Amino acid sequence: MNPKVLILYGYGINCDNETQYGFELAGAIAEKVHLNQLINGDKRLKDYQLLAIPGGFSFGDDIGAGKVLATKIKYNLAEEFSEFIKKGKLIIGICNGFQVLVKLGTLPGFNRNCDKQEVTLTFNDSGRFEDRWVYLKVNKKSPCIWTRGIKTIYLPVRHSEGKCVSRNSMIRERLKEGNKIVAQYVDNKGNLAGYPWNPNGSELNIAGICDETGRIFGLMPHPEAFLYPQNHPRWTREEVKNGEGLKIFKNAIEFVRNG
Amino acid sequence: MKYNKKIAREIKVRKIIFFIIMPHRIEVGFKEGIRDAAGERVKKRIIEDLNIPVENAKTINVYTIDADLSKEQLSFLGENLFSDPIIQEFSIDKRLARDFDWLIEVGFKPGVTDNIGKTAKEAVKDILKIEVGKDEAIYTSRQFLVSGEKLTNQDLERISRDLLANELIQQWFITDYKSFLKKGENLPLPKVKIPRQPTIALVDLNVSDEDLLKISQERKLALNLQEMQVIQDYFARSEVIKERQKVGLDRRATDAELEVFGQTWSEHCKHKIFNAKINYKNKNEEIEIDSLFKTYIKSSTKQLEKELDWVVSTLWDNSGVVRFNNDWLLAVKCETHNSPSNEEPYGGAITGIVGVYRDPMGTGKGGKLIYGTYGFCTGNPFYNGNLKPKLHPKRLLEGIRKGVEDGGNKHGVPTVYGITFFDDGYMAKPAIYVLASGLIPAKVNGEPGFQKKAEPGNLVVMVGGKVGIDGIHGATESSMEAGEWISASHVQIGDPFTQKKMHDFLIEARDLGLYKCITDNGAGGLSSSVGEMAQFSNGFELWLDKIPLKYSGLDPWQILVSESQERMTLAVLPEKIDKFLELAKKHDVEATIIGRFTSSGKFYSTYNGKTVTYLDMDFVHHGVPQMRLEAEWLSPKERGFSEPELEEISDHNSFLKEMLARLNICSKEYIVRQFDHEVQGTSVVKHLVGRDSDVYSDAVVIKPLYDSYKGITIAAGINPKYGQIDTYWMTALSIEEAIRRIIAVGGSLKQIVLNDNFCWPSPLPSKNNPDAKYKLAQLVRANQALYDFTLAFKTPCISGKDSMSMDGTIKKSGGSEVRNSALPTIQFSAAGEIDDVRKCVTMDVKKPRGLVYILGITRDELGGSEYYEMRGKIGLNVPKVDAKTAIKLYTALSEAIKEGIVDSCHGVYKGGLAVALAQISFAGGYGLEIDLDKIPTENLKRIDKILYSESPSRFLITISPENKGRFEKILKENIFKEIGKVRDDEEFLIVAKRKPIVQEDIYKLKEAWQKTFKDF
Repeated sequence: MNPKVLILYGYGINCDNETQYGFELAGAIAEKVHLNQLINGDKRLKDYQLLAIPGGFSFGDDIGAGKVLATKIKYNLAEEFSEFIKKGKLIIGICNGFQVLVKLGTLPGFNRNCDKQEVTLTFNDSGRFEDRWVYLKVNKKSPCIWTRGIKTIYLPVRHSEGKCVSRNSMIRERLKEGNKIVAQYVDNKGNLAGYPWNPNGSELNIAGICDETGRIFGLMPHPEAFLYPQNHPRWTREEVKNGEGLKIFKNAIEFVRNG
Repeated sequence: MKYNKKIAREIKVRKIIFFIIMPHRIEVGFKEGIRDAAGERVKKRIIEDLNIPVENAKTINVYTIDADLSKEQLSFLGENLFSDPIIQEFSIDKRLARDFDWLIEVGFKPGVTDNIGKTAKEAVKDILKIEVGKDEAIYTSRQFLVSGEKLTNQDLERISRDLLANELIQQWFITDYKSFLKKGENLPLPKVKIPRQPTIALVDLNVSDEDLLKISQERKLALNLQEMQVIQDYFARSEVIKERQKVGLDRRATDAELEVFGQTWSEHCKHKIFNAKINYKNKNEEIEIDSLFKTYIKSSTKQLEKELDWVVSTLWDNSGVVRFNNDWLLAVKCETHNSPSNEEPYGGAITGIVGVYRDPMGTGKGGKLIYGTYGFCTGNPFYNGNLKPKLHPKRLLEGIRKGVEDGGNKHGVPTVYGITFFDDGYMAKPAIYVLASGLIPAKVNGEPGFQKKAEPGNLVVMVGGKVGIDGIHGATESSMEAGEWISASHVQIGDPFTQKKMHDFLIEARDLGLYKCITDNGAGGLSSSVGEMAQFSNGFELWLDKIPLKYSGLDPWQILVSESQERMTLAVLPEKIDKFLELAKKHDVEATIIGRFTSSGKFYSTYNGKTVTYLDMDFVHHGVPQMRLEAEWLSPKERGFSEPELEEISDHNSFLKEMLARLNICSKEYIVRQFDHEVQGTSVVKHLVGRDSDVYSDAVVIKPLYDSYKGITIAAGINPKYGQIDTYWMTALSIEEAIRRIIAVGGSLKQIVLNDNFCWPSPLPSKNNPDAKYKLAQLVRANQALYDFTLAFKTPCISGKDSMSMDGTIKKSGGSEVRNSALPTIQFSAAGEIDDVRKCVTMDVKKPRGLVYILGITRDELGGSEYYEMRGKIGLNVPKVDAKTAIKLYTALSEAIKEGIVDSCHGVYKGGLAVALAQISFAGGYGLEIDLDKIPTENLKRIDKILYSESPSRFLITISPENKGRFEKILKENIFKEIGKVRDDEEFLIVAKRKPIVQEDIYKLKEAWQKTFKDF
């Protein structure tokens, strides 16, 4: 059986189609489900093994990026959502989806119910939205299932609120010590570096984090925007063999398949 | 302030009252030590743009909650919805602001769309699980806390007016720290309340000509005497009166009926200038043109439609349609949204882009959006002269840019390509181009996807947003000069979030075959959308009392013509309506049955059973009388143009760097980066390419279907400078540029479609427009070139638009006013088919030792060039397009690219060969060695002219040495020459007669090219 992925859509989520395509390429059965279909019970989260909250501008980024979608989930789907996590199922939040996951407290998920917000993703230091490709260094020691076997990856960021800020230094330490930091922004030589390599001023150059189990993963850059070589900004001058983003989806599907 | 009074009067007339009660305030600010990036940007702009020394600027977001909520509920919301606990703090009904010298609070005026407030209201309902009353609302405003020792009240006035707020849509107050502590000032609540019963007014048209004109002016109908007389005659017809009596009307027109004519017959909707009968004089020749549109545009497009099997549907629907592959059709539409962008650039531009998205969405059975593009023509953003426009070009440009950013990014449509063009003729009215494209299935429910039809018995359904007084008279006001009259209600703020929801809903409804016909509600509102759609069935009945309103009290005529955004009108079969409404509910999209299509031949609308309009469809749509206009062409020589005598350039290195830094040549990377150009995962050739991904590609390429390598290449051509000499050649050159850009990345002449968008200074005679005849002649010549060259290249204009009032008045520093008119401007937007995107090439040189070729001939064609302009001249020898030679060359080049033997390819455009060579070199990260003596020219000896001539139809190509034979064989029948090679270092070298002319480090050249807008 191919694993079933629920691709959340509606209310201004934008990257649902390419995220669905990425999971399909990875061998999953990916189904787009509207948030209201979950809320009114037409579809049930428990019927899926994976949940993807794609990028976009849910609720127009009004009040704060991901904030309103997070409250929608919190006040309408809390039980199903926490059940899904408890069952050890996989979740990925990309860009806006990552913002939703941190605002829900699902990531880094330090308290027992995974519902206390400990970090946030806020306005880029530049004060503006930016679309640019970034180099990421993946933390070998991270338990993240989604990034297994990946050392570095090149992906685009497209956000105005991607700067990761922790509640305090204790939380920051916990992220670091527990290897919850999955991916960091680096320069083209692989070293931690400032703007524009770190496009938003994220503390510790954080681009993505995961929970304790490594099953829940949030990432600002867009793996679904690099599914085939021609997505790369320099494929006409460099040899680009694969869409690097695909590996992230494949990892998750392989993990679920191997049960 | 004369201007403020005008608005005040407008508001009074509409009897809007500011209700002052004591609602709750939740204020949200950043915690101590957390960076306030928005505040920092404000500070930067106060210092840089206004030259006011501020030390610090911070922001606080304010949510004013006009609803009956308990203290507990409010603090719950503050904690869980409105603030981010990690970085923000909040207060309830208590001031959060501290440590500042001055505070400005900016909020909206009544009736202006408050997108965040709308979302907040929905979220509150959802979180608290309560009903919020129709008249309860949440309003947002923002406080700016500014500190600086030397700041004066006057400085704060300027900061508010010239940077933070726009009096057209916003209100604000300024307070210093002391007074803030003493009296807690609040903005008036921007609540709309119209305390009177909606009425239908009757207007007697049996009056003198003078009074007819008065009626037109007082009601802002923008109809001329001839048109008013035709309407007068209609209402006097005895058979018309008899029929009207049956529905409770008489010989008088209703206010709504007059508004219907105002909208439907507006220049904006009817293109009266393009349809006029024109007498065109050119020296001794005199011809009569019965409609420019029919004679040139339509005639060319229809000839090509017959000849080319891939042209599917043109010039009638909301966008033109061509075949993409067997399963999909491509719809493309480019719009202009110049007004009210000139007064409220953000609101204007976001309304423009979100509005143009509805065109492909409302074409055929409905398109799914796949890309958008932009074109911004404004005054010089660094302008520092005598003219004092209401908004400085820098502020205008930033507002427009931000509008397209939010509109595109939040809609999930990649904004893939765009142009900017700066000229001080755009100080009164900028030209704002927005383009949208969508895919329509070739077959929907067994019927061709490009067809649509509303039939008698179908229900009229309105989908999307609610109706308010915003956007009343958009169609008529955009047809007026800037400065004449812009009312607050004309300005809107588009809401991409609401429309994105509607878009997702409509695509699903389309695929389920739930509707028969669809169109967008744009200019003219329901009056236009239902009116146009009902031409299929020949009549409709509209129930205006059923329309969902933002607030009660609107008159029926306002409901009928309001241009409130994010709405589409559909025809739905009664048996499918339940399913349709159910699907709308799933997507949380408003959908309402508002009438039915009939075959009565009548434009019939009612309000609570009373007749509001009862007009003959035929008269509404075909009754407008044809205008008669005079055009007279004066040749450039007659207008005093000549070729200048110039001294040779002494220092080519510094000259080239100056050229690269010029406004219309240099990099504006900051614009491209702020548009999401990759959403949907279809991006193949991005707008910025090269070693560091930061130099403009000739065109962009997307691959819209995941399971196919077939692509679309996208570009545009525009250069109003040539039109100073001759608009015929300007138009030819713009077409040629758009096409050549498509060819340069791997497109071919096999399938390229164009959209034509005219932005013209008014060619209508009046006392302050003495050269109207000449401007009309410029328009005639542009149309003649459009006809000649679209036919020659076989590139049909499948859609387009004209905006015929690029004029306005601007104050000068002394206080006097001057008329400011734009250069005649035309943009051609191109979309080309790509068989296999893997064959595409980019402009950057790829590797050392590559051979550099020039294709095409360089002539003494510097009239209207950047070079002449830099030296203070215009010249006479405007570049000319030789279509026959160009077609042969492009065909050969396309073949070479397809063969895979071209490493890089770049067209030579503005700034000529020197600029193009520099760009391919610094984009690739390798130097060049070029021998100028090898450039094929037409008797051109002067180095400056060879370097900076803007002769069209030229390319710079690099290939690997081993492909020389094959390449030259493919090109053999054309003019081309190997002119040098790619170096393995970073030196850029151009030699002539064995002497170095330009010798410079490529990164120095790049720095010059990038520095102009570096701090933007």
